[in-house]
Amino acid sequence: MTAITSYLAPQTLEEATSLVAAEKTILFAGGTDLLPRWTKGLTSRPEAVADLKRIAALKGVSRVNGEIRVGACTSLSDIATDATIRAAVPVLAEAAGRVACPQVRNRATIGGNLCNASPAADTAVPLILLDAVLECASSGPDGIAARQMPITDFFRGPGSTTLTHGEILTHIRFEPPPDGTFAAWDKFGTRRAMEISIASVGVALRLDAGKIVHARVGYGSVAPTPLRGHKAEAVLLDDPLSPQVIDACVAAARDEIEPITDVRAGAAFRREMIGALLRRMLERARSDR
Amino acid sequence: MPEVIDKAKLAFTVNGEQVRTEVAPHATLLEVLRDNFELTGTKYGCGEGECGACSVLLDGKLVNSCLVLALECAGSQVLTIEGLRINGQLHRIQQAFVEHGAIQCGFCTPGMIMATYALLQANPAPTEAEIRRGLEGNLCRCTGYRKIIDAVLSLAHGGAREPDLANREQRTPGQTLIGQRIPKLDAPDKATGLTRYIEDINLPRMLHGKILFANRPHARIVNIDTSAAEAMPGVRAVITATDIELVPFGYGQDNTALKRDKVMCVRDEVAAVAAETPEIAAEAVRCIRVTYEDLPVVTSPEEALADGAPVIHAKVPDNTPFHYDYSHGDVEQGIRESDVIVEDTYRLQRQAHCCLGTSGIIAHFDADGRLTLHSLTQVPFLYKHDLARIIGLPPEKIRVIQPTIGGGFGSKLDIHPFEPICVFLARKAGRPVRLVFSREEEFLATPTRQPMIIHLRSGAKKDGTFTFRDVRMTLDNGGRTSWGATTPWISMRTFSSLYRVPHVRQHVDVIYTNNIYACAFRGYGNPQATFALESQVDQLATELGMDPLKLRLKNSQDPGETTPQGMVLSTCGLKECLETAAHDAGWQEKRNRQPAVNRQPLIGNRQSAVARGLGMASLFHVGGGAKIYRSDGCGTIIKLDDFGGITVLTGSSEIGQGSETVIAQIVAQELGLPLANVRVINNDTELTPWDVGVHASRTTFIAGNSALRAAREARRKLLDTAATRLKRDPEELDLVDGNVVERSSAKPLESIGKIIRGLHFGRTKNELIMTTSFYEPPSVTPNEQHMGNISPCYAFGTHVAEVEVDLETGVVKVLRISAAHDVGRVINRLGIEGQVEGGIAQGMGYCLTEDLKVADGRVLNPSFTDYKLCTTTDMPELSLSFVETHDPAGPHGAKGVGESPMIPVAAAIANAVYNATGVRMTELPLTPERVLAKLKASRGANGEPANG
Ligand SMILES: Cc1cc2nc3c(=O)[nH]c(=O)nc-3n(C[C@H](O)[C@H](O)[C@H](O)COP(=O)(O)OP(=O)(O)OC[C@H]3O[C@@H](n4cnc5c(N)ncnc54)[C@H](O)[C@@H]3O)c2cc1C
Ligand code: FES
Ligand code: FES
Repeated sequence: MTAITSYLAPQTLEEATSLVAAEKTILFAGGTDLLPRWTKGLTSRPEAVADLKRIAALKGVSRVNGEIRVGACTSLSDIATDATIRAAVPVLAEAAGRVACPQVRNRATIGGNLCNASPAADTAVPLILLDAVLECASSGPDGIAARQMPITDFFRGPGSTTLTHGEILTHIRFEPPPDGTFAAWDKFGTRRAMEISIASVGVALRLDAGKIVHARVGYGSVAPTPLRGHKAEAVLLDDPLSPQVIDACVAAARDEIEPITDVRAGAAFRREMIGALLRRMLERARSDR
Repeated sequence: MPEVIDKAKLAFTVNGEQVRTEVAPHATLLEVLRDNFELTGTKYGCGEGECGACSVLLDGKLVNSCLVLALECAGSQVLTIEGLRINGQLHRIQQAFVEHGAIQCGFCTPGMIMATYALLQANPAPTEAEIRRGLEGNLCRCTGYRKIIDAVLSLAHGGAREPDLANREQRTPGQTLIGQRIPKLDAPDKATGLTRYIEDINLPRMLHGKILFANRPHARIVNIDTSAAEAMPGVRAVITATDIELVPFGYGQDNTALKRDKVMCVRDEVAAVAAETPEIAAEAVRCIRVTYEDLPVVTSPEEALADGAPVIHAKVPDNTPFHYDYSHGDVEQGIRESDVIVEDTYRLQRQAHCCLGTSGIIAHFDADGRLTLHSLTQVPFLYKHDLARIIGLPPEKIRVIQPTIGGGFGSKLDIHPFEPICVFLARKAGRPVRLVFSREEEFLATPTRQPMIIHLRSGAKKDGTFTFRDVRMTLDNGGRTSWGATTPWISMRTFSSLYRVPHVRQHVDVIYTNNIYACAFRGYGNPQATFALESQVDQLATELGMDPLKLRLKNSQDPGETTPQGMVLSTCGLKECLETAAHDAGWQEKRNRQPAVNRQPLIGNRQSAVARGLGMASLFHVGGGAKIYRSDGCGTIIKLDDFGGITVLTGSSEIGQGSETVIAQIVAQELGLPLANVRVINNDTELTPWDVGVHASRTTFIAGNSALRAAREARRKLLDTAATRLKRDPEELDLVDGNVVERSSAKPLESIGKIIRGLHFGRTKNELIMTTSFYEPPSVTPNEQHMGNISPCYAFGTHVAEVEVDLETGVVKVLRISAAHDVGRVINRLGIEGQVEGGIAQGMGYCLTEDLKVADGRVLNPSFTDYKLCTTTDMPELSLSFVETHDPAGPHGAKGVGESPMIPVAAAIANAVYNATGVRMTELPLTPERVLAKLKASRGANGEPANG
């Protein structure tokens, strides 16, 4: 076990990017994923940590040109209670508000939730529904090199993202869904609080003249990464939200996920839960029309 | 080699005071608060953000201090539990927790109070739902959360509290203390973080112990190389089995402190280290190299019994160290007389105690070779006796001091290997050693509830009369034997005597495997037996087409009966419990309005996605100890000082259950002195008189009776003395509120203090008022056939659960539990409610979520992340009733109720699930996955398509 020898608290993004260019420094946000992992000895402690929480630019929710932009270091409790988010994207507020408990939400950041790249990261699915764009920064020849990517390009596998070493996720950006969009998200666990999702699912739909003109489906905890449900979406698009379409969509969803069996649940059960939760959402969408 | 880490400077504000200190960059805020500032009110419960015991406010926000690096706090404001009390006054939240009985062992309390503080700051008048959400990250193993929520609710409503007798000095003069709502005497210290648990006690020059566990289920030890560990700076002692005399211990005499030749389960202790810091000890343990030769692993009783199965303990070639047989009547005759017979197999899982405070011990030798132990044992006197043999020291040289413990529930009934190991380390190092488990070690290396497979067959006549029960039980004993192997003693009493049944036969095999092992846990085999039996009673009711309530009433005993196992039911409130709980739950209306169609989910009709149901189960348990030794006695010494202060020295330990307060009440009541005058000393074998220990729901009954007798003796002496001084007849006098009064007029004549001073300075004879009592209950040790009146009284109770089952996800939601308990007589209403609520929460966890999973001998979920205790948000509405049957032998008529409330919960819920869905669950826990699988199987059988 190594021990951390230095704790760094950069005040600006420039400082942070140049610090983490160093081989042995890792980024530290809320620490709610990192600290338990160190304690359990799942990963050894790094030599140095760069705490991002003192960088004001990485915090808070703003509206820019009609888009909503969330700083990567915004805590999940701030997201859950933010007026803009609650009004425009209640599914994201709900997902953030159902992570763990107040203590953890006060520390955990949305950036950490994504960069930790757990298949069970609860904020990932709502962001998939929103076609969120992730903005990243790294130390470049003229200061900061910026890059952005759609969220679906971000996850590579459990615990792994397409960020390169030294790259910092700075913001998450998305357009609030237009009026008339139905959106829902739910997670399944065996307790009513303090649950890592056994399965989670979200859906966003828009109908025009009785036909589905926009559909997004996302899944959590049922594949190596949070997953967009392309097949389920394809079933929905251009069709009415009929019982037959709902059946077909549920079947497609069950088919396109790749759950595993672990200590929390079996693969078959996870499939069942995705089906059951998705069906309920679609039926609610149907009755909400 | 541990690296030499440069410490960094840290300046921040703690509880309003600016402080500077030096910390390692990886140190957490929790460690720094505790180690650098001795703010030990902030507790370690898991170190992983899962329990909330370490909650503090950081710049006004509630955080888990175990998930904060101390260096992050530079310039920040930290508020801990110690910062809430101002000028020695309890904060109103602390006051509310004390008065509402929200504190039992107290280990979760500081974190709960900090979470409440944060909640009320953000929302001064939260609803109950908001309170539950606000406290969802704080686990409590003792209270069932009800009283905690009540405490917070009382604050939400402007701080006005119920005008009950919570404030113990508000009694009207002369009013009895018995049956009142009395806050625990130790609650204020627990609410303020002043209470010192084992990990909060530091002795000068104390070292830190750490154990190397085998981490493989079955293997021969070829070699242990400790040289690297020994060479590490800061390491003061390293021991392996070759350094100590290996004295076998445990109920099966098959355990030793360290293992020499072979390991038989992953938690087997192989070596240990004592070092200057916990980090060095941990690092040194990692450096010990053990060479093993793996052996085939026996993962289940079935495998252990298979032909050619590996032999685990050479002296038990059939892997079956214990059998138990019991019978009364003639089962064959019972079978012949039966009109209906049902048969099923029930599978019960491992439940972990999950005391919020992890296990630990401090061992310290003085220059004379006398050993002082700070130990969490709940049986201090037997412990001394047994430990003496293991460590090779005469028992009289051992002193056991018991610090406040963070939960017991049976886990501290055995001697655990870590305890002698710590003594050996202290002996070798020549310095005090403290050994405290991490949460992971607690899950891995402390025993659990017994996993059991119960095959039960039972019958009834057409009119419902029970005819016979035929029981076969298999216990997975794991690799070593603890007292847990004797739980069939208690299981069999439920099979023989819960309801009248003329013919019973029970055969039990206890089987070695290479799994982790089990020990005593609240209920002691009874939750398993009751799950099987009460499920089957329900099955019989279905077969007979009878109301389960009527069937139970028909077979319930009456007071005065002796059961065929020889247990004398001097009082028996079973029928009242059944009727009271059923009435409270609205049994008649709700069962009648459960039409059978409810059981058939209509696919596509959302209304029918959930089904509601009601189920019940009763319990039978010892109510005043279990005489398994030649004595089941307890001693008390009462000492009155010259100002009316009372010191009660009792042999009986406090494990958070509130016995200290009950004993104080009984004594104060007898002596007419305020409760505040009573000090109870119960935690030091050099001071306290002998006792068997805390188990078998015996404390209120036995320690209570002992205290009552000593107090009566002191009362008699006081009255005699007063009569002489006042030249009155003792019969004319009484003791009320600190005075000797004239019984007829209640007129105070003289203060009790003055009477005592008169004795001390007496003209003729100088005397003390100091009395002793040793109470031995009128129970008997059962004979070889397990017959006999093992307890002086028996507890009964009935729970009715109302559940909602989600037919598409398998989620069982418990809406309400109505619990009625025959408690003899309520002594402390606040305390007894807390026992019942806490027991129900443990029973719910047992039924729904808790399962320590073991595969290939390895534990799969040794953390609160995946071993799931109920949170505040999971608890249903509870409605409690107490049936007072006034047991003639009990103190003021009371019986013990410590274990009872946990026992029937799982069966009641499973029966409710059956009522809701028509699906009979025979395996715990009722996870959604398991329930859904059964629901689907039953639908499949009806030819209906699977849903999803
Ligand atoms: C008790 C408990 C319960 C939990 N329950 C849930 C739950 O229900 N649902 C859920 O989704 N999660 C849960 N978590 C996991 C965790 O809280 C979340 O994933 C959290 O959002 C992580 O954020 P953080 O800021 O704490 O991350 P950190 O621990 O600080 O970092 C996590 C990872 O992300 C990297 N990182 C952080 N920020 C950035 C950045 N801006 N750019 C690049 N890399 C970065 C870090 O280097 C690290 O590898 C739980 C954790 C605990 C302790
Ligand atoms: S010790 Fe910090 S949450 Fe358990
Ligand atoms: S009182 Fe809550 S854990 Fe004991």
